[in-house]
Amino acid sequence: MAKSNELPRPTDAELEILTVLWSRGPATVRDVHSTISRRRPAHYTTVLKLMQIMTDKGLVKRDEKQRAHIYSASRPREWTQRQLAGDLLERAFAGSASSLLVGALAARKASAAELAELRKLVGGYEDKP
Amino acid sequence: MRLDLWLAAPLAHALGRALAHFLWQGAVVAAALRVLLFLGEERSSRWRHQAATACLLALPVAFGITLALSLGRSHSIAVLPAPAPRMVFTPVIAQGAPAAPVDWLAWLAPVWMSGVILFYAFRLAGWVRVDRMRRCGVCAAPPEWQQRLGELAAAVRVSQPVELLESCLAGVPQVIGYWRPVILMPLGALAGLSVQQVEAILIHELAHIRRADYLVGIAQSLIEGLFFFHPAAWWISAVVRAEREYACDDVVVALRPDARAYAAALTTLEQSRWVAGYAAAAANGGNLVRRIRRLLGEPAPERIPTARASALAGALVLVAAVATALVMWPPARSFAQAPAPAESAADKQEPAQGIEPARRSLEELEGALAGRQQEIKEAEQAIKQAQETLRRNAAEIQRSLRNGDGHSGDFAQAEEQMRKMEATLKEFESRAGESHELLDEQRMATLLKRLAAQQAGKSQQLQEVEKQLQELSNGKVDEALRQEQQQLARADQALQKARAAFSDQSFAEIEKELQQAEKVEKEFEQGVAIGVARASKYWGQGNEGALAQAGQSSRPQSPAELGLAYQKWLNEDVAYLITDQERRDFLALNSDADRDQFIEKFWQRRDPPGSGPNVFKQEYYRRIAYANEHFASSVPGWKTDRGRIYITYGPPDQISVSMTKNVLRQVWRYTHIDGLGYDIEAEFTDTGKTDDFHMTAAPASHGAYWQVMTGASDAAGSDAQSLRGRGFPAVAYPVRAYRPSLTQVLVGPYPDDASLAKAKAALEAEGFHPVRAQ
Repeated sequence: MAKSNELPRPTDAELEILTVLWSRGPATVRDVHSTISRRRPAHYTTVLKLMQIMTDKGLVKRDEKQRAHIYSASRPREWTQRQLAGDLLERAFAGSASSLLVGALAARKASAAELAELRKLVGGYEDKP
Repeated sequence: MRLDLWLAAPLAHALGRALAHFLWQGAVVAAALRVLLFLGEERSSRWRHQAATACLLALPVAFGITLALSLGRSHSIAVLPAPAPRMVFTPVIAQGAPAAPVDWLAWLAPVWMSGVILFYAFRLAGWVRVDRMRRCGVCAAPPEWQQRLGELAAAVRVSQPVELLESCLAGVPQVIGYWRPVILMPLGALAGLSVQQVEAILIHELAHIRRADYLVGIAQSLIEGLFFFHPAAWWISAVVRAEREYACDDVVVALRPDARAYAAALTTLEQSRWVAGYAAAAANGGNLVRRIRRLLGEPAPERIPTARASALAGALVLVAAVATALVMWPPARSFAQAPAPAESAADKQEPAQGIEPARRSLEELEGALAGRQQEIKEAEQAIKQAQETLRRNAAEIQRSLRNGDGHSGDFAQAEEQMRKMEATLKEFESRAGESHELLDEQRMATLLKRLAAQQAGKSQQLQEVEKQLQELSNGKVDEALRQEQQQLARADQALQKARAAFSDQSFAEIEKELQQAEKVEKEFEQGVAIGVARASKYWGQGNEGALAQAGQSSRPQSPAELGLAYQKWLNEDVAYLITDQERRDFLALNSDADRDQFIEKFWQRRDPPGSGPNVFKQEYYRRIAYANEHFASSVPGWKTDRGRIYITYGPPDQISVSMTKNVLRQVWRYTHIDGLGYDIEAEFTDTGKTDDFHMTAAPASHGAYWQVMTGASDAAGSDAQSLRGRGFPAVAYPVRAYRPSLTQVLVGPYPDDASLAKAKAALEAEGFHPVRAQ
C-alpha cells in the first residue's frame, strides 16, 4: 500500500502514453508511437525516452523477454483515474465542468437503486420474445 | 468606487428593482413553460426543447426590459417632482430625527453581482477543465472507428469534421467543442460494447453536435449564472437539458430502430461508470431511468413525482409573489424620502428664511405621498397578477393530478398540499391587506413627525438668528470697527517712524562703517605683508640655487619697497625661469611702474617669434596651475620635483610607470627639449618613505647629455668643476631624491652622438662610470 502511494501522478504526456497502453493493451514503443502520431506529430525517440522514464518511475512495466521490449501499464486505469480525481481542484470544478458537457449520459451518476431498475428494464425487455 | 456612492446611483436602484421584479417574472415564465409542456405532451422532444429554450431566453429578455424601464423611471423620479395636492397639516410633537431611509433594493445589486461573479468564476474553471479533457489522457480511436464515425456523421448531416478519441478521464461519452468537435469515448467503451451499440452512442453524440448543444449549453450556463438566485431558472435549464437528451435519443431511434440495443448500451455505460467510481455519487441524479422507459415504450409510472414537481413550482410562484409584494413598497418609500434630507440640509444653510421653505417642503412631501399612493396601487395590481398566476397553477396541478389516476394515496397527498397552498394564499392575502393599511398609517405618522421636527428645528434656528441680530445692534460691530481702525493707525505710525529712522541713519552710519572697514583692511594688509616677509625668509633658507638667491636678495629690501605681488612674481612665479642677471635688474628697480614694465618686457622676450602676445606667459602660468593641481603634497605642487620639471619643460610626451619592491617609479620622456636635445628622460621615484615622487634622474638625453654620477651636492659640485677643468662641459644638477643635498653631475651637451661617444670613452678611461645605463 505504501508502495502504491509512492507512485507519482503521471504528467499529461505520460498520461497520453498510459491511455494508449490501457486502450491497446501491452505494446511496443513503435505501436505506442504510431498511435500517438495519428493525432499529432511525435518523434519516436521522444516517446521512447518518455517510456523509459516512466519505467524508472514505475508507471509502466517492461517485458524484456522478446527482442522488442513490450511495455504495459503497471496500474489499471481505474486506479489512476481515482488518483487523478483525488485532486482537490479537480473535484471542486468537476461539477462546474460537467454542466458544460453534453453527452449520452447525464452529468450525474445514477443511484444504485436506479441502476438496478435500469438493469431490470433492459433485462426484462431482453427476456421478451 | 465607494459602495455607498454606488448604491446612491440610479443604476443600483434600477438593478435592485429589476431583480425584485424578476422574482415574479421568473415564476411566471416557469409557469408558462409548465403549461406549454403540458399542452405539448404529445409533441416531439424537439418541439419541447425549443419551447424550453425559448422560455430560458425569455428570462434575460424580461430582465433586460425591466431594467431599462426601471432605469428610465428612476431618472424621471429623480428629476421631476410629483404634483402637489393640498393637504391638511396637523402639527405633531417632535420625537427626535427620523431614521435615515435604507434603500435595500439598491443593496440587492452588489449582492447579486458578487453572486454572479462567483458563479461565473466557477464556470470558467470548469470550462478550463473541460478544455483540458480534449487534450489530456486521450488517444486516437482505431482508424476503422474513425472511418465509421465519418459515415455516421454524414447520416446525421454533421458537416464539420469530428474527431473520435478515447479518453481515460472521461467517464461517459462526451462532446466537446462545436466548430472543431471531438467525441470522447471512455477507455474500453469501444471494445466493450457491440458495434451496433457503439454506433448508437456515436449517433447520439453526433446529434448533439448537429444541434449545437455545446453552444446552447454555454449560453445556458451564462443565463443560469445571471439568475442563480431563482429556482425557476434552474428548473427551466434542467428541462432544456432533459429534452435535449430526449431529442438526441429520438435521432438514434430514427436511424437505428433497435432501441433495445441502445438502451442496453446506455445501461452498460452507466454501470461501467460505477466501476470506475471516481465521480461523486448523487442519490437521485440522472433522468436515465425515464429516458430508457421512454426508449422502450414503457409506461412512465412517475406522474406523481411530476405532480410533486408541479406543487413545488406552485410553491415557487407563491414565494415569488410574496417577495414581489414586499418589494413593491420599499421603493416607493425610498423614492419619496430621498429628496427630504437634501432639503433639510439646505434649510440649515439658510436659517433666516423661516417658515416659507417649510411650507414648500410640506407641499413637496404631500406630492411624494400622492406618488406613493400610485405605487401602492401598482403593488396591488402585482399582487392580483401573482394571485392569478397562482390560481392558474393550482388548476394545472389539479389537472395533472387527474391524469395520474390509480395512485389514490399520492393523489390525496397532493390534494392536501394544494389545500395547504390555498390556505397560505388566503393568509397571505389578508396579511397583505393588513400590511397595506398599516403601511398607510405608518407613513402618515412618520411624515407628520418629520414635518414637526423640521418645524421645531427651524424655529430654533430663527431664535438663534434673532439673538445674533440683537448682538449686532448692541454695537459689537462698531467696537470691532473702532479696534480695526486703531490698529490701522498704529501700523501707519510705525511705518512713518521706520521711514524717518531709515533716512536719519543712512549716510552717516554707512560712511562710518565704510571707514572702519577700510581701516581693518589696511591692518590686515600690513599683517599679511609681515607674514609674507617672514615666510619668504624661511622659504629662501630652505631652497637651493636661484630660490635661495632670491630670498637673500629680497631680504634687505623692506616689504613696503617691494610689493607683495612683485615678491611673489619674482620668488614664485618665475623662480625657475628668471636668469640671475634679470633678477638683479629687477631688484634694482625703484618704482612699481618700472617693475610692471620690466615684467611685461620679461614675458615679451620669451614669446616665440611670430606668435601672439603673451603666448609664453599664458602657457607658463598654465603649467604652474597644472603643477599645483596635480603634484601638490606637503609642499605646493610647483615646488615639487615633478612640478619643477613640468613648469620648466612642459608636459612630457610619455609617462611610463613601474613598480619594484614598493618603489613606485615614473619616467617622463620628452621627444625633444630645446637646449637639451632629443629623447630626454627624467625619473621620479616614490619610495613610500616620503609623500611625493622625487627626482632620481634629471632630464637628460642619451644623445647629448651624460649623467655620470650622483652624490652630495658639495662633492658633485667639485666633481663638476674638476671635469670642466679638463674640458668636459659638466654641470652639477641638483636632484632632491632622498636627501635634499643630492646632486647629479651631467656632462653635455654635445652637438651630436659621435662627440658624446668620444667624451664618454674619455670619461670612462678616467674611471667615471655612467649612473644609468643607456
